Amino acid sequence: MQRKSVSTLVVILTIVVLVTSACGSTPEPQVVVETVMVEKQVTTVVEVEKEVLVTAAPEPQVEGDTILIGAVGPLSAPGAYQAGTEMRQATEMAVDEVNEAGGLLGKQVELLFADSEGLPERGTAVTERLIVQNGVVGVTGEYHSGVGIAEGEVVHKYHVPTVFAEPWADEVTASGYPEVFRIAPSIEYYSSIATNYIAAAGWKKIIFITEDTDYGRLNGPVWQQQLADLGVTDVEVIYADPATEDFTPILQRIQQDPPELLAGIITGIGNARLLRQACDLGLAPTAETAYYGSVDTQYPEFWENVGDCGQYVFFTYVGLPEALWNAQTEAFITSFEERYGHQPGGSAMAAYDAAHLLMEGIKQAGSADPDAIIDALENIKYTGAMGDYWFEYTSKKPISEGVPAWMWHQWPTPNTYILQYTEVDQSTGDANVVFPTERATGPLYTSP
Amino acid sequence: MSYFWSLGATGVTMGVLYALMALGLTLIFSILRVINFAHGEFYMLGGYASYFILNAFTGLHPLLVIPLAGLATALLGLVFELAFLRPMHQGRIERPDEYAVLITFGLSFFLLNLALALFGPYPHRPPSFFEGTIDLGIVRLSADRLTASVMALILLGLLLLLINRTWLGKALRAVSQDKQAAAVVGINSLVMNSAAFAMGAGLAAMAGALLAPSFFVTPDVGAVPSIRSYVIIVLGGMGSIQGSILGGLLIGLVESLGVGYFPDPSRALNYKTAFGLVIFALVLLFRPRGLFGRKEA
Amino acid sequence: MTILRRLPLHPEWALGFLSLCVALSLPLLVQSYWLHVFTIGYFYAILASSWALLAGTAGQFSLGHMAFMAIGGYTSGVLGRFFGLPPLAGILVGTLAAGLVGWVIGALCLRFKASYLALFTIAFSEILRMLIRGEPQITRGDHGLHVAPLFGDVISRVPYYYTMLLFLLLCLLLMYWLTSTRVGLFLRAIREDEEAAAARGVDVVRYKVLAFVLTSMIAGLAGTLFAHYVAILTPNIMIIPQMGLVIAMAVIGGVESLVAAALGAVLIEVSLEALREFEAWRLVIFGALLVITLRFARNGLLAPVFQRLLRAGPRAESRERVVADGA
Repeated sequence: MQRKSVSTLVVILTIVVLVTSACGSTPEPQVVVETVMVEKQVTTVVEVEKEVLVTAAPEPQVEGDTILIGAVGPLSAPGAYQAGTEMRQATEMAVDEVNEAGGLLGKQVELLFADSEGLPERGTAVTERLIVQNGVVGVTGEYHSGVGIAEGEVVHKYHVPTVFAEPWADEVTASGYPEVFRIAPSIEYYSSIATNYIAAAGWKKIIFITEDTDYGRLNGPVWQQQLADLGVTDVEVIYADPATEDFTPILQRIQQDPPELLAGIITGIGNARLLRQACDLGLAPTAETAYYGSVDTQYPEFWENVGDCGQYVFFTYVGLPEALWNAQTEAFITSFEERYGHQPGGSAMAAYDAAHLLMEGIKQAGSADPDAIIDALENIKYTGAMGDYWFEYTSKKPISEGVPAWMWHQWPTPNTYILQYTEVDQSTGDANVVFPTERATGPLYTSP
Repeated sequence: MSYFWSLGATGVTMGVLYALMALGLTLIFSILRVINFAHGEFYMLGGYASYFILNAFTGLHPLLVIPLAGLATALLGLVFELAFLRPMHQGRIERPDEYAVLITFGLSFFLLNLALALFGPYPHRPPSFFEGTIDLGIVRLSADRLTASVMALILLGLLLLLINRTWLGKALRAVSQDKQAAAVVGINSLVMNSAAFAMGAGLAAMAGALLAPSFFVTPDVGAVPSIRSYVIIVLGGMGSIQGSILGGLLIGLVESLGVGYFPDPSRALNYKTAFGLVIFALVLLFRPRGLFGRKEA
Repeated sequence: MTILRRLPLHPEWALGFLSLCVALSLPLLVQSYWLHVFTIGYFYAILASSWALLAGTAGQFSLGHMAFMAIGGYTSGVLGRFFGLPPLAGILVGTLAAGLVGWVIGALCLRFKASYLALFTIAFSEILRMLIRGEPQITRGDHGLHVAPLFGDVISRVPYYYTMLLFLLLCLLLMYWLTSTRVGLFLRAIREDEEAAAARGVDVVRYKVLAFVLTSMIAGLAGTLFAHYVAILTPNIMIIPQMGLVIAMAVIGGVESLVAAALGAVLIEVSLEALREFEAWRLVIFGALLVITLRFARNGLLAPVFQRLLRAGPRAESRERVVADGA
């Protein structure tokens, strides 16, 4: 009991304070404040609260010598921090380029990159910090869909122009918020490339093994629907915990009646486990059964983990494959490699372009006024490392009947390609671009 | 019918590995009366140990690294036991049961975050034991996985020999049955505690190292296997060696046959671990001594 | 007011008054983002102190505390999503739901000893997490369940800050009151020797379940407050490392003292934020600190600091007590 004496008294104190104060009043938080402080202090509390409320409204930082740009992205687990780190590097590079060319509105640009950790609640907190505490003029970046949606609410609340680089969920732009622009594909668009490819390649019986996270749960039904619309109806979706170690039993089950295409929509470690186990069983990729891998198939670790099994795997690549680079892309890649010593991935390219696009918007607006920037972005024509940017559906051309809601402030032609590895240890740059056909660099499908 | 046997074969090959890991937990529990909540982290460290040892000495055959990974992790376990668990058995810590839960849980929290900070979240894979696949007639399995199972079987056999035939084994059994009586015949139970904890950690690490080429290794790779091991030791009866082996095989079979025959294939994988846990909770509630276990002393 | 005037005379009062003053005037001192960090810190403080009551005083080592937090948050969030339940009602219903489940689990766990209870609650927590993730039609799974904010469109964090602080104080009061009555005595008696307590006529079943239900309700309450503050819930809030974090907070603060556990939580949450540049190493540091505290400072790191501070106080009596305690 003795060691409790301190805590005891602390607690008793709070009781006393509350009892002497809160008599009869409802437990409103402010009541506590008022009664504890002496009266003079009470007025200060109220005044400062007012101040807090005032600064809570976005006040873009333009008075000083610098203009502040905010960026968000995952820099630590459970976020995809490899992608996030690359996005930060690319964004920093874009800002430095603008500064070397004389900055914006006659000022140097300062970048504040905040870690959203892949958690929606973290994303909203840090975005709010960037806006309220730092006073950024615009926001860019983000990788995770769920986080991007949550951050969209924040930038809308504070009316801060935002160009998202990588979140894919339809809801990100389907919200129709005037502040939100996006250059990443929406899930609908992203899936449509793959489903059209599947239809073009002629596979009729398909099984998806999909992780039961936001990524998988978003994709599963969309793919099934799109394939049905294209006349492919024999489609089964199997959900799996992405931490599953052993897919062998379900693969043995599938092997009883093998599909023409097995698709593994699982990120992280599961992507490689599933492929390797399917390959070991002799199920896929084989002459009879093709194999489609998840987004993570593009990373170098893929080969470390799957070895020979990766040959003939195809996957959706968001970004511009090496075979399709233009002069802008070459320049970006060269300076990125020079600066960071490794090749940028798709996320880096998207973050780079999104940052440039935002800054171009501010430049064309000629002021830090959010409405002016939004107006400039709505009318923008800009050539970046991934191609020519513009936004089709804006306040001047609202979403019409029959156009999906996510087309709002959406770059209509985000780079999304189907690549196929035809050799072991191939890089994404050397892989065949197989779809869309008009940009293909190899045959539609190379069978084992 | 061949479908049934092929699922059965998969289940058994995994089951021996599950048993190997669970046996480590059983060994620790039966001697120290402690459930090691950091068991999954020892499994993870085994995987990383084999990955890094093989990266540093490329000439080594991957199979030779298994005992090395086990030894390295066993040493770590030994240090932890000496520093944090021994004082408990010397009566220097009040409420030892609760302390044991917290200290091993704390170790797990520490090791998991340490691995994240040191190795990053992305999966690594040590080289294969043997390339290619082997067709058993009823099922085709990768050589890696088959090697892992055979090795696990050998290790299980060696361990049973050690426990039943050697002085160390007899001493361990004596301590697990009656500490006072063991002390009377000159067995130092503190030494046995350290030996058991180190061996338990080593077994988990060897299971991790054996499975690393098949399942790869990330900092949180131990989460699923550790929970599975708790299920197994409860099923098998806490502290029973035969029970853990049978429990391991049973869980291996239940998982593979369950997924293979679950009515709705789209959910079969989704709830695989959850079903194991439900069975586990029920056994804990209604038959705490486990399915095969002896009565708790 | 006489009480207020007497305050400076006693070091304990002064210390308590000081920390309360700091907490109350914090919105004057720090910017909005740090206010957020402290609000989350108070959320963890509610969890850590209620876990400290359950584990420290009642001796029930549950590893499922975060599950009850999630039950509170998700109950309120899901009812709000499908039936438009307003946040205030949600807080009430969520808290009750956590208490109800806590009653069932607490009753089931009655006869488990430390390690069995830990195993059982870890299993319960994991099953629940898999359910929440596996049924996105109801919970939206990893996608995140959007929850109505408590104060609607209010932008300022100040009202949320005071709400969380208020509930933290109320929970501490309630738990303190409980431990200082006969109930607390019985709980400690049961913790030390269940059979002896029963032999002396303590209704063991009743008090063990009571402790479990009460702490579950408090965890559930924290969950609803968190949900209606951050406005989005994902199953990631109840992963096992999160439970580890709460335990680290309570243990480093001092598991025998409710206030020390709460302060430990606030301190750790704030330092996690302040040490952001150390990235992944922050949790390694706290992991190491947790293990070392467990081994070498069973009373935590904060509780003894208080005692040291108070040793300078005028009352010799309390000084003796501290010395006796330290021996």
